[in-house]
Amino acid sequence: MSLIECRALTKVYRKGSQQITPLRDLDLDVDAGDFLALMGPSGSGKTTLLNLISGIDRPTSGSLRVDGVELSGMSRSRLADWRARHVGYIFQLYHLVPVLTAYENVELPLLLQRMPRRERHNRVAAALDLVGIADRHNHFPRQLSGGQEQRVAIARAIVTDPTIIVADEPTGDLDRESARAVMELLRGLSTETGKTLIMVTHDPACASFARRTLHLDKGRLVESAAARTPVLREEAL
Amino acid sequence: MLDARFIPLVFKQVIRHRTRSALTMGGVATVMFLFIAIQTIQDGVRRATERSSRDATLIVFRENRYCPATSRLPQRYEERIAGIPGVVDVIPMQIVVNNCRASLDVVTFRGVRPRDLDALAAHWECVEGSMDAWLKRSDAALVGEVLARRRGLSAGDAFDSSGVSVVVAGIIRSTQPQDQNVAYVHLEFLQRSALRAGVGEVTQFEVRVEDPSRIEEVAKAIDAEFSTDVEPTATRPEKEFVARAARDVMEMVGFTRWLALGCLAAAVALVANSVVLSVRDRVREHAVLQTLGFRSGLIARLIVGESFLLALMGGAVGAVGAFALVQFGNFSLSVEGLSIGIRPELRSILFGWLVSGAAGLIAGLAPALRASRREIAACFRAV
Amino acid sequence: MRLLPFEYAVRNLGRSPARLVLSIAAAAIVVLMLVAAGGFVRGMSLSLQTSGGHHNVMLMGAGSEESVERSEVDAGVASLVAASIPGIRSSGDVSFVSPEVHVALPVLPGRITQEAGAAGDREGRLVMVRGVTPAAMLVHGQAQIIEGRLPAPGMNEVMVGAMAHTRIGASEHDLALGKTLHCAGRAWSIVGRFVAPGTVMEAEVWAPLTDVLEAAKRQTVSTIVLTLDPSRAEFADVAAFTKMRVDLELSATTERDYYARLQSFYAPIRMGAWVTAGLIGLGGLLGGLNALYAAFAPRVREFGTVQAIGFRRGAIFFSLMQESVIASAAGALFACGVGVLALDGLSVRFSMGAFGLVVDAPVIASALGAGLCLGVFGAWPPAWRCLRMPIPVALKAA
Repeated sequence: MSLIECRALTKVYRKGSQQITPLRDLDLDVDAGDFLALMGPSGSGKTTLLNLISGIDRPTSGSLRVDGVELSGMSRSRLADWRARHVGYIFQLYHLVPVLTAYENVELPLLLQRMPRRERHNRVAAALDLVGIADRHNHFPRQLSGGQEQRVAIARAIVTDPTIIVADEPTGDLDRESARAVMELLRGLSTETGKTLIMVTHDPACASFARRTLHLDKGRLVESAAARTPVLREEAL
Repeated sequence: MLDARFIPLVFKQVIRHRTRSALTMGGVATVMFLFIAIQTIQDGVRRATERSSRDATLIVFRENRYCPATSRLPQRYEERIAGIPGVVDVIPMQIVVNNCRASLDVVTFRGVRPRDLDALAAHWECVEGSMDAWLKRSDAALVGEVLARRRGLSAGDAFDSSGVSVVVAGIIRSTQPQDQNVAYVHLEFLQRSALRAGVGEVTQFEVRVEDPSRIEEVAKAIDAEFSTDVEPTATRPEKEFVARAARDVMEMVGFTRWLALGCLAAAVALVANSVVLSVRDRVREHAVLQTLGFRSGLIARLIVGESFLLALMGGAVGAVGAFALVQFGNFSLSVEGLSIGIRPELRSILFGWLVSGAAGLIAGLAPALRASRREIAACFRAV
Repeated sequence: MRLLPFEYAVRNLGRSPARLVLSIAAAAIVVLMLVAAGGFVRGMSLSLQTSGGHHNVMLMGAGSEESVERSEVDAGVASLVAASIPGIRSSGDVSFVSPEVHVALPVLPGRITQEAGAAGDREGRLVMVRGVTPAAMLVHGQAQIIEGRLPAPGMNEVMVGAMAHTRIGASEHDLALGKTLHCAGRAWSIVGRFVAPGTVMEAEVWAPLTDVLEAAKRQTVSTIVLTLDPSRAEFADVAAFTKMRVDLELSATTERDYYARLQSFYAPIRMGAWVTAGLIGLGGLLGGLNALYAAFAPRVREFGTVQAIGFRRGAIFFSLMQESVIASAAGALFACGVGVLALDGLSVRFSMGAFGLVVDAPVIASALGAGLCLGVFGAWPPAWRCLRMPIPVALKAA
């Protein structure tokens, strides 16, 4: 059984007087430990699919199961609880809370769990260490570079030891060198910790770090190309 | 309620958004300062005018007179008043005041006999000088603490007002609000100094009754005794007497109640405005929190918590300011020679502070509800 | 320095109609507070300033110069003064010498006493009752009878000022001709109404001198007011008379000086009104600053872009000030309009008298000026904060 199963997944929303359908009858399976890249032009539905899988949006119709749990009919509060335990989200623009330090940003998801302070501290320290930003733990986001902010965001995403990690254009706002460093980090998470990663990207070079790439267009999967050879990686970034 | 582990987060949001928080707290502090100052004035009026069942003092005044200068009663009335059943003590008093109208700076002299001083001094404490010094000089004055501070007087100083020149023999502190703002001088001295009043005439009599529950009865009996005399009397319990004289002031104070409500509304509006702006700027941040797993109810409580904290901190500054102003300002409203002392009551200060917190809670509710109802994906799309 | 077009400021204001409305409302509230306080202070000051007649001198009991209610003068002194002091204005045989009693008495309109059952059941508000002779109309030129006539002695008749109803707490209808007032244990019929615009007299009840002396059980008058003929006498002559006749125990003061002293007596109250308005205004200002910070902060990238195009910071600063001034000026104008329509003339009862709020040109000008300052200076801190960033940093702002 796949970790993530989508069957006839559809999402419709209204923008003013217009009805927009970013996803139509999508079927998808993702295995545990997979590193999947979703590519496609703007408006193809890749971010929408990511949002549905990560539980921050609800499908209009169809079925979506993650680790055996059906998400499509869940209430908002139950989805929130589920996300807290099972999902780590990495945004393109990092979305760190500006008035919290790096340490406090990473600690934020742990506040949702009943955990002794010491244990919280240990997990935050470990996450910051893993992403290589421990020395900046008491800096505010405005004192960090883009690459450093994204590292903090990654630490925040992994600190709860989630079932899946989703990343929406994680290198979209970074320079080449920082982008490469972030992709190496994500690849390491996938291979060394066996985390399931789903990443949306425009950049084929970034997609080449993934084990599998899927293309979407107008809300549907158009091909299922398995880019398993990491040949392009070194030259592309 | 908000779990304790999220309280540091609320503090950080408030303290680290320095400018916004400072402006909001400054605004709340300003209006709550005014609110608490108004409460304090209302307290002063209430203390001076509300009768309690223990009140046992009557004021015998000239009927149809309202200014001390125009009330003249023969001093010989004392014996007849003392003979009325239920009367324990009668103190004739001459009052000279520099202005009958309502104001903040009035000097009132009360002329009393040396032998009556003990009865009056039961409520006093001499904080400077001595009562013996008063007994030794005919032009000596025992000055109430509030009046002394207002005029910068100490024992040994000379001062004059309304054509009366005295030397300060002592400064007194009294539990009776009226005593705090007057100067007690010798009755004969005042009768001779004061205009047109001769020895043998006084402004009023202060009468102590044996049984406070019979105070109205005794008042009626006194008025009945003199109803056919050339100088008829009007006798009332002391606080009622002050209330009648201070009606103008009480009306003004009644109006200030509306002002106080306005201040409260302004505080709610200030905090609500700040929270709305803050929430609008943090749409994405709240969406991220929801992404991390923060429930919408928790986010709403965080917003209300921030709102409550902002208002409480601003209210604290306002409360401290109001307390300092009233404590060190030595304000006292006087009308027709009667005094309404304005001094801080901790209960009112605390009440005002808590009310500011409540205003913050109310202010945060609507924006919190709105923020918590937003769909996460819609938030990311919107920004 | 090339400035940004004015339309830029206007269109930016229109970006968020809700925010614009709130800004205008905030400015309106602050300015309205200032208009109210200004109207109160000005009304109180003017009523005292104009209460004193030109060339009028008040003779009061020595030592009572501060308060006419305290003063006592023998009733016979009036004729003595008229005969002794040369240079008192006269009209035919009638000297401009007015002996008067000023006494504060509780007054109830007749309607309320009927409802209460008896005059003694309810106490009225203290009103200044002035016992006068016909000479009072000569001496107090500001007072003009608009309806009815002077009350006649011995008939329990009174004449009421146009603002007396405010003081009494009744409607104008309750004090119409023919209605009754209850005072000092008897019923008085209203036979006349007078105006004395901008003076304390307009809130008074006038009755014949002898009737008031009897009702208040007095043998002495409060004051003798006389009008001097400036070509023949001056105040010093009257002062000299009082010094010469120490037996009469009189002191003299010009009527203007008397009310000027009363004005300074009320200075703390006026200060209190300003302080209250100032505090509320400050609260509103701080709230407005908050709103401006929130309005400008999201536009930092826009400011960076405009600077990159070639406009100086000063030009953007000026444009932001224009936005702020437009909003606060609109609010200030609205507030002044409300002030003129709703507050001007509103009567306020205060300490034995009443006066009307005066929202006139000086008050409006001050309020508009304050609104303008609010707009100009209110924009400075938030605008400075947003513009101080270097252009590259601003362009990267969220």
